[in-house]
Amino acid sequence: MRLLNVSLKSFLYYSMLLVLIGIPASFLSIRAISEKEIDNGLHRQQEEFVEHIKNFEYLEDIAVDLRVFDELAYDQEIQPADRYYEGETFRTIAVYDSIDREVNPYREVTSYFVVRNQVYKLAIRTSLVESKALVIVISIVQTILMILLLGGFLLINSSLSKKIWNPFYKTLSKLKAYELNKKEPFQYEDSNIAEFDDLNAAIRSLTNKNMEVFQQQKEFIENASHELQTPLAIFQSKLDLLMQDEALTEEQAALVKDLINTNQRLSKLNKSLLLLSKIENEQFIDKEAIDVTQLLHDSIAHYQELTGNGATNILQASPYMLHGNKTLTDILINNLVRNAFQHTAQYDQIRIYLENGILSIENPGEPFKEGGERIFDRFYKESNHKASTGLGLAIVKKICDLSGYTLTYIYRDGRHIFSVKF
Amino acid sequence: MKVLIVEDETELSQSIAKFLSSEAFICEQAYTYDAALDKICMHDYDCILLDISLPDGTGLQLLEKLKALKKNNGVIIVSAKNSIDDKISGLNLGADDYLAKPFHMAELTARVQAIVRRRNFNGSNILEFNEIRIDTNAFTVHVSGKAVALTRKEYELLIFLISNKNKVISKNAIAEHLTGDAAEVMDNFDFIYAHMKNLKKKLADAGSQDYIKTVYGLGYKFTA
Repeated sequence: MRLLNVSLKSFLYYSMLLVLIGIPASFLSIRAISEKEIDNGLHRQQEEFVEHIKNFEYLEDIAVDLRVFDELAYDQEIQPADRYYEGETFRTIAVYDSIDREVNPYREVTSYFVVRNQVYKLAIRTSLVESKALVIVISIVQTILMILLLGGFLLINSSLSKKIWNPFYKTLSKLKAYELNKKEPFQYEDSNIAEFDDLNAAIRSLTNKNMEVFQQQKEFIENASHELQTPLAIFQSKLDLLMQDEALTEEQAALVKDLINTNQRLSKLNKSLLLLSKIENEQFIDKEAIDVTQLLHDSIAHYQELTGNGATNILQASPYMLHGNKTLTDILINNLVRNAFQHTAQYDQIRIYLENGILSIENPGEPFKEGGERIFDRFYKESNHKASTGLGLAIVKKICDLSGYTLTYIYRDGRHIFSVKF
Repeated sequence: MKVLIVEDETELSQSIAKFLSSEAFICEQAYTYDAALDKICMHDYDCILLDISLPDGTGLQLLEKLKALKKNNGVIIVSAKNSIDDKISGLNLGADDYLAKPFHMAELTARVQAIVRRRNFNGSNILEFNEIRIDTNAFTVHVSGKAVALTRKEYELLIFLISNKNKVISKNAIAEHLTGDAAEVMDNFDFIYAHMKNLKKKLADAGSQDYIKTVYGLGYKFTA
């Protein structure tokens, strides 16, 4: 769930709760207030009426007048009563309205008064229709205001949140696109919000540190390999001297031979590591036009010469020019061609195709036990070749990755097929 | 022939000196830039082996001095860096060759001899061993005046062997010499046997003695 929605959701729930409680509450409270106002009015009316009647107590036939009045007045009733009760009683009643032809609510106050020793029951009514309409109108207006208020609040909040969080999302998208090996520091714009500026600064210092460590690690491999070259050279030179010793017995010679082979392996491994880290450190960046077909010809001729194989149908290529780094392309092609020659004894069965910028190199052989998924991993060795460093194909992969070529491997009909799409 | 070894690693410098001295070379050693500069100014050398990184300077600076002094000596840069930039600037400054550490002594000897040959004979490069005569300019081999047709690899192999005559050369050194710069050499030495067998046969057919000896499992020795 997105951050914006989390805060908006809470606001929304609260707003809905307020509307649900607020509308009936305001309706009820307005109605209560208006009822109280009406009751007060009725009370005053009643008091004034009784006061008024008292002024006419001197009239002999007031009883008759009151009866007439009762008959004439629509919203008043004056009935003689048997007993006098103190106080007023308010109640809401329904009265049939002959004009509107409907039953309407009325508020009625009942009290007792005495005129000329006769107790009268006085009931004054007032229609609630108007006040009901008023209550409804007020309630509707209130409800609309409330909804407008809350809706506006939600809208403003959501747009404000979007604006406020905008720098955060910008930072996030930049962080997603960030690559450690690009050697560029993390870029950001000032947001004028302290927290986000802090966050960006923290991210920048973190990425800078990471970049530094990454760089150091890359350089470490390169430097370590460089430093190893000299002791390896000394060791090699001593072995070359030892080998010249005429007094060497056959057993000693065998030991020296093992040492030479081991040292050779060390040197090769070191050279490959150095090459790999140089490629990683992007030390081969110059680009030029390269005749891939010619490179293939040379490489195949080289290994054919070494293996003493003269098959002429190995290469089927249409001329292809590539814009890339000469050294890297040379290594790429050489490693793949050597790989084919190294892993088969049937040299004349090797097939190399170059068409439409797709190079495929095939050699017959047994399928890999592990299906060939890790074939481009460093130090992965399927065969037991002593001279194989397990880095040759890793170097090929690295070159392809850096140059944007697609490298694939499949096993089909008893043949290993490596393809490079330039 | 005089060779100056400019190398700050004394162990390596001494090994090289010892190996080359058993050939017809007189070796002098310099462990620092200053010492090398002194020797260069005072003596003439046929070949200088130059390490790029020295404690008090670089081999490239020495190359510039050599150029300024107009010395007519061969220079082989020996570097642990194997960087293309160093190689290019070295060769541009007049170095004749570039050898990356680690290397086989046989390879170094062959390269030193190639340079000395080129310098001393002003382009007419003749390499002789008893009845075998090689013209490295014309790429021809004669045994007692009779031309022998060799493949390129057999030819390279013969020169490599003669350059290191009386020395045991490991199969690894031969393999690396024949395969060139490749970081990984073919892992079996079958191809050396094949080339060696063919070379021996061709030389024998032309009437040459069998000078190529096998030394235990170690390698080969070209000796009379």
